[in-house]
Amino acid sequence: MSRWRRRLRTRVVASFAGGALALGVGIAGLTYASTRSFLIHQREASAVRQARANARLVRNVIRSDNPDVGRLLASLQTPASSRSLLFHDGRWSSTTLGADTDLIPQRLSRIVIAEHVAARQRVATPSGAAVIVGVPLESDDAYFEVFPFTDVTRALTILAWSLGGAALVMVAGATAVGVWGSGRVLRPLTDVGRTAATIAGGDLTARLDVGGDEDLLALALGFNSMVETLRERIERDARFASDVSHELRSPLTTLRSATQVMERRKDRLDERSRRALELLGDEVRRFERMVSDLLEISRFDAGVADLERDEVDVETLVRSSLRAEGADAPVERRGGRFAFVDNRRVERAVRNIARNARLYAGGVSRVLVSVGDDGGCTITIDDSGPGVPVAERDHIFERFARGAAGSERSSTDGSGLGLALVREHIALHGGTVHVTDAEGGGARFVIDLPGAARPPATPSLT
Amino acid sequence: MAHVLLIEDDDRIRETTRFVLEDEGFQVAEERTGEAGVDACSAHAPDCVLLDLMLPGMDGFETCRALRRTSDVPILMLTARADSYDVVAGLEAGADDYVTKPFEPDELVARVRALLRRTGRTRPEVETIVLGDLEIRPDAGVVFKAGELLSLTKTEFLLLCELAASPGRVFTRDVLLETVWGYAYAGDGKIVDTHVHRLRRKIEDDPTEPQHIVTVRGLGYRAVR
Repeated sequence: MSRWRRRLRTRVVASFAGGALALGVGIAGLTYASTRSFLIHQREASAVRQARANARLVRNVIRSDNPDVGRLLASLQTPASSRSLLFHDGRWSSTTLGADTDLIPQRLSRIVIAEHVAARQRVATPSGAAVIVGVPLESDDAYFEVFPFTDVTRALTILAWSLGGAALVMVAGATAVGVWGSGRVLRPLTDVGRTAATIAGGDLTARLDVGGDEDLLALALGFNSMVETLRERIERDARFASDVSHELRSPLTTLRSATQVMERRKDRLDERSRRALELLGDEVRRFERMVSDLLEISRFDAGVADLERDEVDVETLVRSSLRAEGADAPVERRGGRFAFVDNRRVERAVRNIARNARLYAGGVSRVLVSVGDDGGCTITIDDSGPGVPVAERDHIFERFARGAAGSERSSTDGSGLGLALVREHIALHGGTVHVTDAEGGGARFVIDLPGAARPPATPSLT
Repeated sequence: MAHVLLIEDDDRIRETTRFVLEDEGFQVAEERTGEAGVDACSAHAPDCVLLDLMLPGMDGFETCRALRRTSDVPILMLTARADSYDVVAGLEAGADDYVTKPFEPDELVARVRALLRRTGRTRPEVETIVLGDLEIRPDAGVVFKAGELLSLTKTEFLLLCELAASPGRVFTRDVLLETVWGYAYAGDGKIVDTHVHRLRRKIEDDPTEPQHIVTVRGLGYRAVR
């Protein structure tokens, strides 16, 4: 369950982070693109405006007789970074010393100089992007001005970094919100899981807190009403079992006593009546056991069977259980003396196995009890029968299951629930029971009872 | 011939149970309700009461408490469920023992005989046992705590005598069932536990911190001189 939760949570956080990333990158990209196009557009517009103004100045100057082109260019109002070039009388002059003329693409110079059309073109220069504006003058003269994008590029770089940083912060923030939010959102689910586990553990009074979030009220109320319905049904079943108990036990009590009264007078009966009475007595006893086994198992089904652990002298318990079933097999003990188990349930388990052995397997041949230090114990019961085939070993603990030996003698007084009850009694301890081969051919039933934490010790013996 | 009062509302069970008991030589008086049972008990002083727990009107527990207010007659209760709180509640109400329906007729008779055997038993060999602030006179069947007479049922009294007669010795539940209840076979330790619990409420200053009868975990009980 925790793995499922982890995965769900991971998914929630990942979608938060993914969403934030997509949103961040989208917004940053759009902002960058629109800012960039706006800045460049502005830059080009101002470049064109300035180039035109400068071209007008240059045109006025070179119309005069002896223009000092060098001074003219130097006197032009240009931003520090831009450079002016003049094509005058078939010669290039420039504000800078370098041969900037090769900066100007041939196509641009042809359009401006040969076709007398003002034009601009973006170019890549070794020092960065730039725009060159060309304005035709009289005859074949032309004025060019190179405007580098250095400042725009720098601004865009800063903008790009800022936007990238903002996107990262956004992703980190969204991840954090996702972690926190999914934790909050999943907490009610965790509560539901924990409560469900408590209920599955047998505590039918556990409920979800409905005083919390209003959005979760429907879930809490629905869950609680489901548990309430279940509890009512379980209690109805349990009540039904106890009602059946009372209803069946009363007539059985009468039957049993009436049979006894007749059995005391059987000498006065004829042969046939005596035999009929015998059969009646046997069947009443068998019926009695079936009813009591059915009621016992219905308590397990209703979940109302509870475990009463106590310090139990297991060897003595096993001996008296065997004696009650008329078995006198040797009992050997290893380890300690006291186990912390439910006296009555262990007794029922041992008795049922012993009865099973008596009815179907020639009786109990040997018993080994070993008690661990942790309050657990293992009880191994061997019988003298033919053993249980491997294929039937699980099957025999099912209700009303009868092995090969059982079906041959189905008229014996088994209830069909004996071994199923053994498994239930042992399972209630958290233990297991299984059947295997005994040395010498019989079946071996192994009851494994785990220990449990003992309550604090009382004052010791003086 | 011992007199048994049978309080049971189910006509068929009452009749067949009476047959079983009469076959064994008991003299049986029958009542159908708790109220009539209490009256019959004070009128005829039976040697033993068989009490059904599920009675119409005044139920078995109430009847048991009502009987106990006036009498220490041994009470054997008939219950439908052995694994429920009924047993403990019945014992707490003052019953001495119980059988579960449907009971084995032989077992019922054995329990009644054991109860009656106890009732007639006395211990003339010891005059007084002193256990802390308790003074027990087995022959007279009385117990004083700090000079004050305590009201104990016969079973509680026998249990106290048995433990007090050998202070320090640990009695297992099985041994007590055998000596006090007269069981020749393994019985239910719950009877012993409930009676010790009830006895402690009468003889101990603080029943949760017993000074006279202490529990020996996993073994049973012992008296402290």
